[in-house]
Amino acid sequence: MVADLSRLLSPDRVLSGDAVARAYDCDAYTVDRSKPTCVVLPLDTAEVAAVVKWCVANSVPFTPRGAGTGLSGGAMPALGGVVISTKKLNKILEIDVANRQLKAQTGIANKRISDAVAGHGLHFAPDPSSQTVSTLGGNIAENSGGPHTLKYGVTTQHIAQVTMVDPLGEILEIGSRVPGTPGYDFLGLIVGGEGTLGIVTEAWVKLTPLPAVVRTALASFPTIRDATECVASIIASGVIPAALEMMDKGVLRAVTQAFSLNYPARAEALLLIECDHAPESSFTKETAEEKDPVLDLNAPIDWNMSAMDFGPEGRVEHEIQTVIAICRKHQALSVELAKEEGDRQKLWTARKKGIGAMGRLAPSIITHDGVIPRSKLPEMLDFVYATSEKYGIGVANIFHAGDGNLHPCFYFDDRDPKQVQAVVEAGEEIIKRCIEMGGSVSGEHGIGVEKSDLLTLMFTPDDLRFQAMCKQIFNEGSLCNPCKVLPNQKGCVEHKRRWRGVAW
Amino acid sequence: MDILARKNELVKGATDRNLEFPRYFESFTATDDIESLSKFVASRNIVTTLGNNAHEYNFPNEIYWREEAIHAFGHLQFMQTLADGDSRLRFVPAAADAVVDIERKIDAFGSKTPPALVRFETEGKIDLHASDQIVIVDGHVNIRRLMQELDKSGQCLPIVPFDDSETNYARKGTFGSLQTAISLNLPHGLEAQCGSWRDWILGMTVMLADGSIVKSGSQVVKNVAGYDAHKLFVGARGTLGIILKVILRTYPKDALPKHEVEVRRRIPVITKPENKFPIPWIQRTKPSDFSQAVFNAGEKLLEIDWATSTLWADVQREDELPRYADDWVIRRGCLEKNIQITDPVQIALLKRTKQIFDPANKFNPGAMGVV
Repeated sequence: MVADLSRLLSPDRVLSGDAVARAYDCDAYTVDRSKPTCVVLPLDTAEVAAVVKWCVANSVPFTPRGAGTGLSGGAMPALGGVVISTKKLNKILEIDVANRQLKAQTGIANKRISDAVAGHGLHFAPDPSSQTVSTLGGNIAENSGGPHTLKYGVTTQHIAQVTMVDPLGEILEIGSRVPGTPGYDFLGLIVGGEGTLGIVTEAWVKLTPLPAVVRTALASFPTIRDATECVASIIASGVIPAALEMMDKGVLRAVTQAFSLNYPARAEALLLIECDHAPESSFTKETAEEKDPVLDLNAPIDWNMSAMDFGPEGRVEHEIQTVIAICRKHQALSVELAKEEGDRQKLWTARKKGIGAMGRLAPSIITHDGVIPRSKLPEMLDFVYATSEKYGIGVANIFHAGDGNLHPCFYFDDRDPKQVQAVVEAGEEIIKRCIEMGGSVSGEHGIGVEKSDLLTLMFTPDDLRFQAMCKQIFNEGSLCNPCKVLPNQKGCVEHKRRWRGVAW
Repeated sequence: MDILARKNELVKGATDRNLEFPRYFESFTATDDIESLSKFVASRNIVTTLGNNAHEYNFPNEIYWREEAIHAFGHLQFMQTLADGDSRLRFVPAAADAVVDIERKIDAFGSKTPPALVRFETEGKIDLHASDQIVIVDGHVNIRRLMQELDKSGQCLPIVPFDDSETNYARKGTFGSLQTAISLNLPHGLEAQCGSWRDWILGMTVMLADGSIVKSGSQVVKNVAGYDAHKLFVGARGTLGIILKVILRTYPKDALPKHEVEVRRRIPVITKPENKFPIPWIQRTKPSDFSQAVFNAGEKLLEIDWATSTLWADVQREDELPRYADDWVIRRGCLEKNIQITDPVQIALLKRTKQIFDPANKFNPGAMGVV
């Protein structure tokens, strides 16, 4: 295998051996592991196609992989074979400022896209927490979200067209530079397809103007229930913040220790709220004509007015003041409003560095991902804490409250099989509860191998057949990223026991 | 003839025409009896439904044949008057010629079994969860009624409100029933600011060609649980199955932005049957080509949405406007020219999808052009 693939690429871009196998046997979901035979590092779409065709001809499974930051095992080579890494597919191919689009290879890190166009006042809106390392291809595969998706949407809304290598090695272009093209929405399947429908190698992404006005506030609450009820009230008020993020006492404890931050002594939850406005959220004939009535910031807010009654700056101010008033109604202990960019960055510290700070709490962290209708947040958080107590493992919550997207982070020692088992079982219990509340098994981390069995809790066999029909459009075989998403795939059940061999 | 008189004429025509209905269709009226509908769909050769034609067409073949319903669709007030309080009339928001296609297909199939027409006579259920900003709606619910229900809780769908006195084409893709709007997925006046149907639909329950009822998505605003199967039905013109139920994200009414559609030519009021309406040509280009496209459309321009680089023009069947790289065009009344998909990869995928979902080609045959 290595010799053949070395002839297709070059020997230095085909990796193998024990160290390589260990390094690529999982992604950031470390519970399930499976070793590849080798890892290839193609430079372009043609090389990816050549590798896939070789795999198909030799019946070798292949699994695409970006930065390996996925949290559901999507990049784990479930049946071994070849890992096709996009690490060297990292070039920006074209920037079309006039049409606000950028074409890049999909191994590029998310943030590099935004950095490349920041000088034009643009950015790539999806901003997963891993954006400094996670790749465009990974974002496309998982339909990634992030703190600002409440207002700006998830990855699928920001992808215009992709070039992909299908599971037989053919190169296809899906989507259009001009959105809304007639026909079936194949791009809607590819984005979020978890790399099971083909390997996306290049993409035209849509660029969004950077917000010209941003107001950020951090509110602290005496109980998590006060904070979650506040979220429901904010959503019900009609304000759509750009971000609405929550952190509980577990995170507070970690970041306080790690970064010497000070929050009110009685604070058990933090709510980060950001409202913004982009000057040209769309292409307009004469955007320069947009007038922003001068807002007197010292004047009292007229609560009878809608935010849309103001110009952009006044609108954002009205929104943030509305949100602050709601926080106070829900017993906020303090509300800190950023006056300048430095303040804003400081307010974001707990959210951006919270997961990292949790490294102080235990050797391992598993971040779960479930979604519930937003009004159920208070009830669900109670359940998370009760579950944590029931299984005797620590939990901290840092999550996208505005989307109802929970991320209970269990901290534990993965050298202890009992703790690992408790974490897995507690996670499944939480996900089941999410489904009972009308929610979903995953909001942004995907299904991968972690949750494929849990899909049966959410969908009937007929529903899953419906999804299998969608997969069949692109992938009828079992070589392209096998054993992911759909449960009970042929040839995957027996292997499942081996994946967990390390941890169990 | 005033609008009410015209309505009465159409109602009478529709009633008369119903007598001939079986000539083309074996009708099935579904209320809440989804199980019977399932058996019915599974047993038929051709099922016309949803989106672009017959299901909404609780009769308007009268309008179809005589002056093309699509044109009657041109005037908002007229259409509202038609709809108000008369269950015999339903809207046919687009592709009137799809009915012609179906008739042609019937001949081609030489089918002895009459094609089936699925229609819903109940108003449909609306289950609003205002605090979560989602609504679960039967697919055949009229959007106007849905908007009225949402309005009571300060919510809406982010489309141009119906009480806006200005009539334009940019709102038409959102008119009629929910199934219709989703199946057509036409551009609308707030698309740049608020997205389109694919952005608002969180989940869907559909009936497949074998009569099975399946669902995708869920009731939450963010969800990556498996493949987004429901997205295939957005813009599919009813060719893959029947949309039974839709879970939608709603929008706070107070936050609804103003649309920026520039109207160049008003659509004439229908006062006489012989009134001629513009034949719409909807074209979207890259922003960098759009000024040229607008210039070239000249006097034919009806409306312009600079925000999405979309124009509506009056282009007769035999005419064309200049085309641009990566642009697309949707037309009406032009049969196979309604949707022009020429990319061989897309055509192959469309055919493959149709083969997987509807191997007997029973759902709205011909409505998607190449499939």
